[in-house]
Amino acid sequence: MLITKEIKSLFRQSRSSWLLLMAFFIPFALFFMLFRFSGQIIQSQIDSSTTKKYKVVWIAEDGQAEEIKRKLKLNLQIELKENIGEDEMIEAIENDSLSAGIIIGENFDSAIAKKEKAEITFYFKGSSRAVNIVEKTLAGYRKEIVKQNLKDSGLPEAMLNPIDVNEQDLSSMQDMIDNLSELLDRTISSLLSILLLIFGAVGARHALNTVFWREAHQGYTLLYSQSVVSSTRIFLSKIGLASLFSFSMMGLSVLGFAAALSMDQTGIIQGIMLQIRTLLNWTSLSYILFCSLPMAFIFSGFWGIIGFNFHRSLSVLLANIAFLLLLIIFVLLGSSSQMLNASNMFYPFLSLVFSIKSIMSADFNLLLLLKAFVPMLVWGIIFNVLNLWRFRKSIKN
Amino acid sequence: MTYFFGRCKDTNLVNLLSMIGVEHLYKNFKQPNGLLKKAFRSTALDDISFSLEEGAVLMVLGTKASGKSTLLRILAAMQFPDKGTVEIMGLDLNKQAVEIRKKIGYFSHEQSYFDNLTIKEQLFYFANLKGLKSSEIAVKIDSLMQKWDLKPNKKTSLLSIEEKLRLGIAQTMLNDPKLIILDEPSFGLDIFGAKPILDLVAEAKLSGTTVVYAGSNLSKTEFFGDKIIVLDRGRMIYTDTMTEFKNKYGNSPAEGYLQILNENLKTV
Repeated sequence: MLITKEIKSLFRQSRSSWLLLMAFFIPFALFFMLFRFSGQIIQSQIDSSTTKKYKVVWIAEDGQAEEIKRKLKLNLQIELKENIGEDEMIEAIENDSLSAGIIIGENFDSAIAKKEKAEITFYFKGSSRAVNIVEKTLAGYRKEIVKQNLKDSGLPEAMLNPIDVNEQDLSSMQDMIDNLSELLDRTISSLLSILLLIFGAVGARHALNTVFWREAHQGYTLLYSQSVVSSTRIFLSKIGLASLFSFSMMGLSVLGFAAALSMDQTGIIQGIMLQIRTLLNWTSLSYILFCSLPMAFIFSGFWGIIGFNFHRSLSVLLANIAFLLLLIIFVLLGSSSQMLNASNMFYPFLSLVFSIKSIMSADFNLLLLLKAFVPMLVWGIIFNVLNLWRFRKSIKN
Repeated sequence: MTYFFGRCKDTNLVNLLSMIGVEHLYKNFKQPNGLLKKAFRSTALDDISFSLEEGAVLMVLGTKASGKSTLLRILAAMQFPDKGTVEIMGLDLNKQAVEIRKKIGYFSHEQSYFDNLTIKEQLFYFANLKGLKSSEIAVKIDSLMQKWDLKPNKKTSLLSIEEKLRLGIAQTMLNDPKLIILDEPSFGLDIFGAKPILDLVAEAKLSGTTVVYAGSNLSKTEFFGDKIIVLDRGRMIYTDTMTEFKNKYGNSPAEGYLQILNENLKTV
């Protein structure tokens, strides 16, 4: 088997094993940190929003409006301050050192009991979470009094309160979770695309450097030109290995990502993780790998051509820079809101980025994904036919 | 039959019962000259004609860039002529290159070995490239390693120049060739280092195997064989039997070779 020699040549270099390890651990570490830190950030935001205390001044005669006071005290975000004078309170609200102030009118409880007008003065500056809480508490108390008064008068409650609106405030947590999930989805798909493209390219480049460029440079082609076996077979054993190595690197990157995903994360991130895990199950990960397959073939062909034409180190450096720029352009284009569609599926690299985005948003059409596979494969064939032509030329001279 | 300055006096005799028959062979190379400029064309071989009988040893001499290596690579079916006909063992090079390669052993001092492989793996891979049957390969490799004193598990990157030569010889002999082509095999070696090559040629001569040998150093050891060809800048400037050559130039074949080169220089 011709490929046995290529495998031995490749894997007897310690760099090959290191690259495979890196292909797993770099995505693992990156995604682990991404999940961990994004979780911590959102957790701390939620913590701060629930633990932040708003100072509200309470001025009342002893024992008056105890029910309102009790309700306000139940809210963990309100800290009632007593024993503060009215003037001092107004000044503090103006200086933003207090959120609001409540002054309960004289004989408040007896006025309520007599079904007379009772008075509350509410001081605040603009709108704030504290004002919202106090207003809601006062409205709730007023509603209860009206309800009681109607009941005492023998009138139905619906006369004055025909619509019952049940308010449920979910904004603080759910919005944050939704926003973060969306942001994470976008970040993950972009990061995963970049990592797949980089590791795929690095893998193919390393393998081809070992079994292709170096051999051409060191005059091993003299051996191949004596061969009875067709040059196409020799070429396929080399390109096959390079594609396989490139694909393994991409596969390990996906595994590294999956491993980071499966790690237990603490706090609110669990909710988001659940959402991501639902989207990224083994089936969708296999779709990502499926899309990477022709990409490995493209990379092998691409680097093969580069290697033949630029085998001097400086030119290889220029080629690397050119490739990286190309990659950045594709990834930037790929970071748009576009998903995989019939018009963008023909571009190599870019179609992988769009495919991954579509898979991760669970907004993909399997048929389209299969269709996108064909142009990528055709690109790979074009690159490799050129490569084969160059290889045969180098042997036959 | 004498050729001089690349012209054959009796072309009817060329190819008659010969192992190698070359007629009016031309080979050019394109040298890249930057991306936007037209490539240079350099002539490697210019109208070469000769023949060699089975079992004979042919010496090919010439200065650097005289076309020796190109000629030998064409004879080994590794490269192809631009014009002219080349027949090896009655097979047409342009049509039956693979068949020719099966029957040929080629060794060059420029040859490299895969530095991550051991001697045995290198031979095994080359045997696969030569299309040997897998049932024959292991036995053949073992006997060759024993014969040429090679350690199977030694990495090729650790070989000395003499060991590399012996590995090259073993590789050349893997397919029991009927024609052995040696391109400056003793390059960089002293007389002791080159001994395996001389042994190989002597053994080939005894067994009736044809040898084409390109030499570069002018020591007496390289003036052997049955026939001699001298090349200069792609043209064949002298060809004769070795006996005639030695009769003409006596005990100093190196000086004779230089004289041929100088005469050609005057003509040019």
